Amino acid sequence: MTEPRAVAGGPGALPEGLPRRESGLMRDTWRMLRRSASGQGGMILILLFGLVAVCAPALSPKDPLEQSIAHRLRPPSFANLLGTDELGRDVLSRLIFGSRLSLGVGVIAVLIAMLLGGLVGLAAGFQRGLLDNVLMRLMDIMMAFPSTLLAIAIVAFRGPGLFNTLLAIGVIRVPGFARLTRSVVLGIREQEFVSAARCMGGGTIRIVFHHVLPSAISPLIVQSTLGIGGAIVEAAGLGFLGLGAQPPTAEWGTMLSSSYIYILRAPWAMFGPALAIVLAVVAFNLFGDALRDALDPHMRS
Amino acid sequence: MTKFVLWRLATLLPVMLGISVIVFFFIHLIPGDPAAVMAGDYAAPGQIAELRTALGLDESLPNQYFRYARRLLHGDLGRSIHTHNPIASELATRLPASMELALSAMLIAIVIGIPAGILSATKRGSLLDAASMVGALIGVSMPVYVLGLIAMWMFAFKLGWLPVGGRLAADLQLQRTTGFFVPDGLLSGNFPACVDAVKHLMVPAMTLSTVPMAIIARITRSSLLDCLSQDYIRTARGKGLTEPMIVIRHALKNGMLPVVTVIGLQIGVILSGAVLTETIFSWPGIGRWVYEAITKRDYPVIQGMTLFIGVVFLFTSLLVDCLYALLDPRIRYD
Repeated sequence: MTEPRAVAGGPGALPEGLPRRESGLMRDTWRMLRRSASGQGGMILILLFGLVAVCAPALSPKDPLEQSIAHRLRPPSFANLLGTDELGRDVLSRLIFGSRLSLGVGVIAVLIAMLLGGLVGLAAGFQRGLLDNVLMRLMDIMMAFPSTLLAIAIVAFRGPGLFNTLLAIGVIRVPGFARLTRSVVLGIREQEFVSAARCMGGGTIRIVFHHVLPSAISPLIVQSTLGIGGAIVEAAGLGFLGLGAQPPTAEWGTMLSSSYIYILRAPWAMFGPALAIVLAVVAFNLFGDALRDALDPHMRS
Repeated sequence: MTKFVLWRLATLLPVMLGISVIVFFFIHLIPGDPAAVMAGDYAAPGQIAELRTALGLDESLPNQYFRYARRLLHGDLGRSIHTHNPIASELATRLPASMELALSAMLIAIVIGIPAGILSATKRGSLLDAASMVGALIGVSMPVYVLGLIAMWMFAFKLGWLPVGGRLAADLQLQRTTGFFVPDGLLSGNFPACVDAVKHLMVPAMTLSTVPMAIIARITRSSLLDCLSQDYIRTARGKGLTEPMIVIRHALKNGMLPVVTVIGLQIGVILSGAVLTETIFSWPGIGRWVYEAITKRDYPVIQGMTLFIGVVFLFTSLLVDCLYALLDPRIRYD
């Protein structure tokens, strides 16, 4: 069989000499993103944070765990650019190493939520019927709790620690992803290309993963990016309540809660992690907003 | 309308059942033997067994749940392991403090958030718009615990304007009738106490209000912008109506619907934020109680409070839904 050829002058053909304008999800998104200054700002910040987290051992001027009681609560100086904390540890080094945990937990928790929620949404939306009903009512019940509170309760019962924090923050975000995926899938499954795939003998698994999932990817990416900021806030909040990473681990929320008792004597020990948390969240929110504008045609203004 | 409310109430029942099941299972999230963990490190095996029987943990799961559900239906939330007091009665003494804080925060969020959103939308592209949207971005991105600490440092320590910590200065007396200190001060004619209560309330309430305020401002802006580009607005302009008239009488009426929904959702944000805010400001409400219960491993209290806050959230959502239906007849008849 020969390849179908574009008719000369028809829609598939490009006149010679004209540059071919590539299109596709990635390219379109990139083009839209380039127009948004705030989105670029967010992206650059995220890349910087990522770089700091990956290169923490190389960038960190001191050992984040090394204590020096003689040098406790020192104000910022050349030796300690952001001062020292209540045990004489270098705040900057702890912030740098803390980025690994604080950002890592946010990103991984959202990935867990996207994976689980995506699967639930795909199953519910594509299968419909009883499965859909049972799964979505379960999601409704989980959404009936204020989400941060649910996370606090889960970690309070499971016991404090990073792993349980990760689990709790992931779990509370599952219903959001499930609902989103389901609503997208409901729209797609009625489309003709899905019926066509079915007529050609495609099995359910093949149709779901080859035809339905790719169309659901972009809203999921937007929701994930926007969710990472919230997940970082929640992870640090659990750390602040003493439920997250345990001392002496360097994690932003834990740093905040151990330093705020010294708010009068050494505000710098508190301002470092506070600023880091806010900047990281701003970065993900800016990037997420720009991505949503780029990927979601309904939100385009 | 009555039919709508009754129907919504009926849909609430299965969700409440679900909530109670989830909260019931919390005890079984405890790794290992819940009775041993709750009895503490120094408990003798006999004490652990006694506690296990007392909590009904030796029965089958369905039986345990039915026991739990029966207790709940009698308004019994269990007893604190730490103080041995009934959780429901301790809740009653702490609830007014939380409600006063939450309602004040919501009021501040609405009173500032909505006008900010309206101004932003009507003066789109202006410096004012840019400033309030940057403010909203920061507000959304600023966790309550970060803002609370900064506000505490600034207002209480650097400027010394406002007290932070507790609800009333230690040397002031107040006759409690409602448990809300500001109205109590007014009712008993105790104005110094009333002013002091307001001062104590200000920083925590402002802190708790920022995230909802920012979200309300954003939604008001985008929803109003949507409405302002509609044909009927062009018609109104064509009729020669003044701009304020158009915004207030025509655009706001339709533009407020999404705002109402978002305000309803913010109640959840405020209820969860209360745990962190009350902890920072030593506010003697249910949020701080949850924090204390976490540090003391007082599991029944955490369990009871999660259930209580979940149910409160559910009913406020119901209230918002009804308000929504009242505003938009299309929902009633759907």
